[in-house]
Amino acid sequence: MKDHGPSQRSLNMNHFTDKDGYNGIRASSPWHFRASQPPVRLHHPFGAYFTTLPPHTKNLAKRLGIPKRKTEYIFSFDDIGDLTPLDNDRGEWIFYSPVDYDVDRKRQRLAETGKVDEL
Amino acid sequence: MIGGVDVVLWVRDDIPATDVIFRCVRHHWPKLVFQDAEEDSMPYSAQSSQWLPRPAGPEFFIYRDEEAARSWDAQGATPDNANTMLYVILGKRRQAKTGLKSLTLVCGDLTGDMRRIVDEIAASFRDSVEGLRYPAEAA
Repeated sequence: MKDHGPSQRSLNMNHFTDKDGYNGIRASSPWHFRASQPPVRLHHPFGAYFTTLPPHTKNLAKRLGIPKRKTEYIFSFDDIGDLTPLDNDRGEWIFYSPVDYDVDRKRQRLAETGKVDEL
Repeated sequence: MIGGVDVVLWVRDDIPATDVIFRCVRHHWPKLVFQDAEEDSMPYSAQSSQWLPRPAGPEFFIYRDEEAARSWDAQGATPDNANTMLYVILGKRRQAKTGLKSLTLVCGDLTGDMRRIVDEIAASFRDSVEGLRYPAEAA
């Protein structure tokens, strides 16, 4: 598989979501990603989650452990190295912020943001 | 944007990790279906031979059966297919003290059959490590 590890962290950071999530985040400026507790209680840290996996990655929803519909929309932005990798092998491509996370206009990659099928 | 439970295990380089995993899983899921993570999804078919699958890469999925594989492919993770897939990542990390390599198992939750499968895999690797003496301790 492709290496999406730390050496590539100057590239894109992505957040996948569904239509409602997309519309909610897109409405704010800067983009505001709300920290929350992942579904399996207390297993993963409370946080806002992101990935370096690009859209059209094979089996993306399975790798992230989420419903497929939650990979239909993407926010993409420049990574500045301030996100924390998961403390396991998925930490090669899954990162989180323990608090709400804002992305200002300068870091937003608008051409790579939107409905995945249309990018 | 994340789901599943990640269980990190540490394994020796000389242990055939994928064989150990498939043997444990097949004991509980005799109709298991296997897929490389870089592989396109369809068609799925259950393992019919006694030969153990040979993953082509460091990441692969093991489904309980064909129905589970199809469900995951169509919908990703849902309440209906919870705990019917084990995602295996043969990691790149090494424990500083022991030199053991990381291996992560991702599942829906550690309950029922999945708990037993993960426990058996963990025990197999633990048994292979027990008694190992590391250079720092040998003196």
